[in-house]
Amino acid sequence: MLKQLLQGKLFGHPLHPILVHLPIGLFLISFLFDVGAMICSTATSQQFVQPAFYTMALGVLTALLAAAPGLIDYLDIRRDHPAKKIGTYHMILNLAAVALYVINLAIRRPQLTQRQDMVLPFILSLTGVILLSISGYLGGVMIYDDGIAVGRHRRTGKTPEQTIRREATPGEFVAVADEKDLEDGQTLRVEVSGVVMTVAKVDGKIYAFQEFCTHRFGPLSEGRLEGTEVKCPWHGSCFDMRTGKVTNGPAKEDINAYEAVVREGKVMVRVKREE
Amino acid sequence: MSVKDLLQGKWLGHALHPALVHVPTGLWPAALVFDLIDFFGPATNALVRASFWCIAAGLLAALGAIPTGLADWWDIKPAKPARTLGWWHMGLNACVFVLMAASLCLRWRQGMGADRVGLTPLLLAALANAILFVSGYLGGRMVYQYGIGVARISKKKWRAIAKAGGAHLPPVES
Repeated sequence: MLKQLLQGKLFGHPLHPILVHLPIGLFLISFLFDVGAMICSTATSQQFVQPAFYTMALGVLTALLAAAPGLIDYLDIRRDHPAKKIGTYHMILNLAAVALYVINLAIRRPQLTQRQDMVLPFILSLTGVILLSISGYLGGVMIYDDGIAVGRHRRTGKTPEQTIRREATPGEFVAVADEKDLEDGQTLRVEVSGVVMTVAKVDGKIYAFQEFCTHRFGPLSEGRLEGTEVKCPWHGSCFDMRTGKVTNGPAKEDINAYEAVVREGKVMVRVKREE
Repeated sequence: MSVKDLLQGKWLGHALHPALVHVPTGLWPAALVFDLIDFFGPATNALVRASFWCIAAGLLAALGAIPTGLADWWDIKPAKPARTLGWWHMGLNACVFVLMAASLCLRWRQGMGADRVGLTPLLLAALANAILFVSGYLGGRMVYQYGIGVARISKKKWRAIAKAGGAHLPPVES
């Protein structure tokens, strides 16, 4: 429940990307105040010293607020997803930036009314803004390139933590999981000899189909399951899980459907021989 | 590269509009926070100045967000729900922009030496922020509900990953 709240599922919008507007804007303007203080005459520059401090302090406060939902979003990314590594860098850079700003504030605090040391706090601010720019860019890449958190609020069941890899000759059934471990509404991301598929359980039935949507190749294993249909999290294309047929666009091409059976308590899938 | 590609941020490898809007969306609520502390708490000239510059910088960045936002909106097909959402997002943002500009104008006339922010500019900022909250939410819904701008630049990368994963693919678009 707390996880869902922090993910923003209730609002149909993730929380972390909303909250980060504040520290990004504030740290940026704090640096601009510093620039103003550097280029203006001594009398005028003093007027920028306190605004720089206040905006930075509010920046740290809001950055800490954004950290919690950010961590929850990060933990939810599949371990072998290309965005996981980006997320790790994003987190490290953000933690480093906030640590620098805390030091920066501590240096500025005693000289709020009469500033003496201009150079060190300025360099710290500049470093902070550079780290933040890189990190913010990476955060955006996670959303716009890799579709992290896009359409996630529509999903209710458990999503895959990691891809399950199996080897099999074409035409042969291979066991991918124990049927009792698979919850209703849960999906698995399975790779059988290089073929990547989603294995889903809905209303006690098992389906196996191509992992990638045919529109912009979104991850169907993170899609919404409704009856016999799966809805792509990115742009909402729908496919029939039994046949792979498109039931709703923007996708125009069907996906591959694979055979899935339960034998002796094991979920087994098969990729047909090429004809 | 076309003007549309330029405004959409293809050259940067990152959608431009959502990156730019961090400045006004971050700074305007912050300005309201400073206003409220200044108005109800200790009247401090530094807070009045911080608020003034936050609003000013936000307006400047918003000017950059307008053409980039239009370029993103341009790509949404007319029949899609996100297109309508885009209209609302646009209209509400225009209101926010005007209110914030008016608030800044009043602050300018009041002078930068003041210790306490005026009630009218504060109320204008509060109203603008309330509308901004709704508008920002709609902008976010366009991304997280309808996937606007998602996998636009990375389409080729995901196609390659899907191909390697044995997926059935549509013919390559020209």
